Amino acid sequence: MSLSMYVFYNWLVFLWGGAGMLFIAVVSIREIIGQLGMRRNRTGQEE
Amino acid sequence: MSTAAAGYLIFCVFGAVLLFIAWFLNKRFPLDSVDELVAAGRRVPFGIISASVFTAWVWTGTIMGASEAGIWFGVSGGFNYGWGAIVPFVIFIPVALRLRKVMPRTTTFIEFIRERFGERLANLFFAFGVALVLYVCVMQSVGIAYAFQYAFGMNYKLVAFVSAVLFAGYIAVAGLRGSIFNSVFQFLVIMLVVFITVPLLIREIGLENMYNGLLDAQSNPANPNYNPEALNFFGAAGLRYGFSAVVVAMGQVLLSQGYYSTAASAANSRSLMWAYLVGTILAWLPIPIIFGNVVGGGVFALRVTPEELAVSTGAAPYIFSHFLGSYGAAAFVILIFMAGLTTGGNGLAGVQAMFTIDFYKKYINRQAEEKEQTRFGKRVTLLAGIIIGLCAMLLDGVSLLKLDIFSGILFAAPTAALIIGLWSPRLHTRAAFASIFLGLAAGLAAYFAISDDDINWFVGNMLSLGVPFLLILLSLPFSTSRFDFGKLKRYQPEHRVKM
Repeated sequence: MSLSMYVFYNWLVFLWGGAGMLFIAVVSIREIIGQLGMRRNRTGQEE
Repeated sequence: MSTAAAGYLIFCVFGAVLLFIAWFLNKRFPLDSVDELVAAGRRVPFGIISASVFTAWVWTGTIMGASEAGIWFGVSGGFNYGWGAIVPFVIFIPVALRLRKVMPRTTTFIEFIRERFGERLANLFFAFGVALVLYVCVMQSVGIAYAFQYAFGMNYKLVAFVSAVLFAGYIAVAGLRGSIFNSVFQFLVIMLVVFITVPLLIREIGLENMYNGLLDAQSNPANPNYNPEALNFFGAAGLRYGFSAVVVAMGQVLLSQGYYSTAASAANSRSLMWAYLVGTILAWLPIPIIFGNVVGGGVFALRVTPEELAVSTGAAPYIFSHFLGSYGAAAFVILIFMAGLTTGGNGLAGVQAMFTIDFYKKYINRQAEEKEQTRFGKRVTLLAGIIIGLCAMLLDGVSLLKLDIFSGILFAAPTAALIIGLWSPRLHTRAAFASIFLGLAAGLAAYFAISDDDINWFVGNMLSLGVPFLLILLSLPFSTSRFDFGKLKRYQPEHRVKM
């Protein structure tokens, strides 16, 4: 493996992992806010 | 502040946050039924499941073991660890989808085994499932204790015990939902630590220095890490390790009820599939590759040998503290802490489900109401945490990677019967039983009989996984058995399941 290929490989993996984790972070935070909001509305309706 | 005090502060702060989240969830989502306890109501959305799957599969071994693989095998180490551990998930996804389709009201894979093959095989799988989770959770507590001991000089036994009780505690309080929602918090912490420390490490070590270290190790016999395949992405030793990783991970995924519980909690099959694909291939797979490359590259750049590290799995904390100082050491400990707790929590959520659904009403109290079942499930979870903590205390100084490789032989053998039994109506119970025992026997025999320590583990793992598949596939054409999968569709568990 050449140096340039080694550098490219490391960058590729880091960007790939970074994109994957960022995607999950954004989606899951939105979902948690949604879940807590839904629960609050349901509790309010029951009262 | 003293070093140990900083460590205790980190432990207590994160522990308090996780217990608070569990308490909050318990207030918001009362655990008034078995299904709420073990399947979180079956309406968890895609992103949260992705985060949970990601963190459940980031073990202390993912960080430390992949780092070690990067040292042993050079540039291919992290990659081989990664692809080997992903293949079982690629198999698990269709298994979980198939289970959801043919047996929609199931939660545990034990329920499927019982209905498909009968009580005796179900009990065998139950024993395997519990043993696996206990083993995995012990490994996590050991990894956490090593990390805190190495970085802060904290007492190994104390950290090992308390960390086990901690993840047992938040599962006992909040059930599967506690595992899943805590996983999101832990996911965010892991993501932050990786995003901050990895670029800093690469900047401090230098990619070119890492490459030159690997190049020297490949070409210079006087190098303490001499390895002619250090820069060979397709080296034979690394590939063998990758195939063994498939076997080791196969049982760890397919016999771990926590993953089935998480799958059952998904709002629908589509979100289940995408959550597992995104959580594993998109987000998880780069993690072991990154740590194999960066930690391995750091060790090669410094020409440090495993013998110079306190325990061979000490490479990762060594590199973090060497290049990033005390803040790097603290960040690494936080990473390991989060990784270990999520995996332990997921495992114990599975044990909770197994004992609540497959054990209590069958063997202890046949007339039990769901309230009694859930109370039992919570108590067993706490008890399991104490047992795990006590076992972890005894394992100071033991290499985690060697334990991992041997576990492949023990837990891979039952997977063939489970997988093939889901699709083929011809698989008879007797054939399933025979495949498990013969696979286990073949794997253990090879491991102990082959004197070459470089290959006995490899052959043992291959036989333990492969022999059962071969036996079953050879037996199918001769089988007169025809199982009616329609029975599974009509299956009604003894507790209410909200579909």
